[in-house]
Amino acid sequence: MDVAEYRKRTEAALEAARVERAERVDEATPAEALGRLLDGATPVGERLAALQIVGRAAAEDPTVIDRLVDVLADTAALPELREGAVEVLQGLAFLVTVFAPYRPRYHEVLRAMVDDPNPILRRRALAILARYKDEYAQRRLTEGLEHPTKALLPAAKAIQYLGYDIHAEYFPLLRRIVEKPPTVSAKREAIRLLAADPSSKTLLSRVLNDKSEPSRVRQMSALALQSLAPTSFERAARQISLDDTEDDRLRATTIGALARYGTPEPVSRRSTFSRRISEIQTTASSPQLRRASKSYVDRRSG
Amino acid sequence: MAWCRDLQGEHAIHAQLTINGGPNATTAYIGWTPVPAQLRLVDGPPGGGAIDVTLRNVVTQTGGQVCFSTDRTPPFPTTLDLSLPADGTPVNLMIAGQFDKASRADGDAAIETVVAGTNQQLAVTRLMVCVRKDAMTLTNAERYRFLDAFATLNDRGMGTFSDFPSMHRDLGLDQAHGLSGFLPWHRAMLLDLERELQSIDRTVALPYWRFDAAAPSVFSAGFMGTPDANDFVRFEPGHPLESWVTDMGLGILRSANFLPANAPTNIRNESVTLDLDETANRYSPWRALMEIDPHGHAHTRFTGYLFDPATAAADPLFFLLHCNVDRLWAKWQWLKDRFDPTQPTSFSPLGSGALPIGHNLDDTLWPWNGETDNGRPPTAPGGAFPVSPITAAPGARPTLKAMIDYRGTLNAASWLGFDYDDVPFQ
Repeated sequence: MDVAEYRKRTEAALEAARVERAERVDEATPAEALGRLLDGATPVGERLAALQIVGRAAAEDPTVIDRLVDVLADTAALPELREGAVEVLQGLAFLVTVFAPYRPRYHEVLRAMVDDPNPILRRRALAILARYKDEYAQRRLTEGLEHPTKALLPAAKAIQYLGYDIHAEYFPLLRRIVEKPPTVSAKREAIRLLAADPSSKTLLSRVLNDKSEPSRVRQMSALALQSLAPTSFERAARQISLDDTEDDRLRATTIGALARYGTPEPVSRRSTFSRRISEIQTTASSPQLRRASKSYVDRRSG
Repeated sequence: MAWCRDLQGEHAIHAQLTINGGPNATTAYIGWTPVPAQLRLVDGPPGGGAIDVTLRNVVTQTGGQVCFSTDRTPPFPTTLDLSLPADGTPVNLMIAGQFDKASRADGDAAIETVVAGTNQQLAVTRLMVCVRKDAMTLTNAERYRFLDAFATLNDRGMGTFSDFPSMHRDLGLDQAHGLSGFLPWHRAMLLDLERELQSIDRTVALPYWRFDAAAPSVFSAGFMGTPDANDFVRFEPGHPLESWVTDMGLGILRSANFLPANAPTNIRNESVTLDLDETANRYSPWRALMEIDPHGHAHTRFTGYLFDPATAAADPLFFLLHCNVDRLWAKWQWLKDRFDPTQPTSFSPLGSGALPIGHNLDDTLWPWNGETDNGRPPTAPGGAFPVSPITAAPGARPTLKAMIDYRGTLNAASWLGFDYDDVPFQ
């Protein structure tokens, strides 16, 4: 490719974008956008567009962050506007040093949003606070799991958010959820977090080996056990991999994991297991199973 | 094969091309930036005269292609004539990948050295034109090599990948965001990761996710995964990243607010981004504007880890996203000629002390500097900057300054060893 020509083409694209921007006469200045954003009489579409302009203006005037927090705090404002404000504020949160002075009030407003009637806003608030290991959010999430009438979110989401700061005191609760799950999704999430709990090895093995469990639950158990207790996982994985009555996706997962992390086996002493995997590579009807088996054969012979 | 007849009879003459100082097994990996090479005769005719040779691409239809020069000044022709002393004294030249002709596989580029005006081959030297590419354009094999190396680096949460999320959290975030250090710090982080991946598989270059374009194959179960109803990212069974573990736990949490077949909305496109601060084209305003949008907007097109700075680097997609941020900076530098670190239009503030530590040109970059006091975070994960077999830059304790002239445009010794597929050298 001719580089001089490429440069000309790139510059022409910039010029075209410049012309297009100049023709967009309705684009507000940051000050106008702030006025539109805060004016409840402005149509919601214009206020949402104004949000973006105000957010970008933080590059030159960080105080607009406080105005965006005002929008978020306004419980009378339309939920979509407040959702938009969270998104813009999170984008600005990446300017960590610029955002720092505004974060305490932002988190205060988010804590108030935990009880908002709008489920999306509740979820957003708890997700953000949980990442910052906010004790209030963690307490409310735990309460909701222990007493479902106090739940702020579906159980699976609450478990997931607790996982941003997983510690041992949650493990008994998570084990109870695995034993008596409110939903399959909640069970999967609890298993995911128990990958960090050495006391859950037996429980995870049992779930993995229980053919009556949903395939996705067993798959999560496989991954969790692999992380927690590789030797136990390998033992179970070798059986599952060769069992034609097992779910193909689960078998592909176990074969793929054994290919990558299983105990090395000298090529000169190929076991029955390796031979069977070679057969699966050619005979399995599932493309995923064939791919995983091929990966095993390639890695083990390579 | 060329033959030489002398008093001892007839024997073969060979040439030897050494790229980037050699040995070629580890150094014959180039991008668009010209790199030094040496060509010499082996077993030349004793007491004979110089032999005129031509260097050229072996295959010109597929694979990586190269061009040549005797110095770093364009143009770079696709053949080069040289005269090689018979006594084996090496002749210096420069080799670069031909823009837009990158390799797909290791050694798919080859340079043939022939006796000038003939097809008598003196040497065939295999190499790879290895550049950072749009993730959408990767072949299945390229994608697999990248994912495989990434999974090895992660090693179910026990590998050295754990240093990367650790450096991008808590007080470490102050070193990397909101001020001038944003772009150089992330450039160093990406290069660190890329060198770690290359120590596992030298053919890997970081791909980038163009967040202003649709990328359906990136957001597929075979590449970066697809979320289930609970935002847990699922991969094809047996996928290398299926056993991904970080200190955030098992797996990856991510859900996009756009469909895989579409580009995200509310995000500045490339042309608009490159034209921010359009009249003066100064680094500081440009960085401040682009850090919010597209960078911040790209992060918030997702829920899950990417949505917040404290958790973002636990998601492998973070590195593809930031590779695109870095590409935009590289392309802006190329378009506006912003490689000279002594110019405030290329970076400001110059010197040190004007901004908090970590954001001034002469400051060293944490955590690679190992500093844990004087305004730095209390720990420095990861150790010194990894070395590269192809360049000594940026050294074990890099400064921000070392990240500016990344191609060695002004100073060849500054070359960091990477290029983007759409940012030429010239």
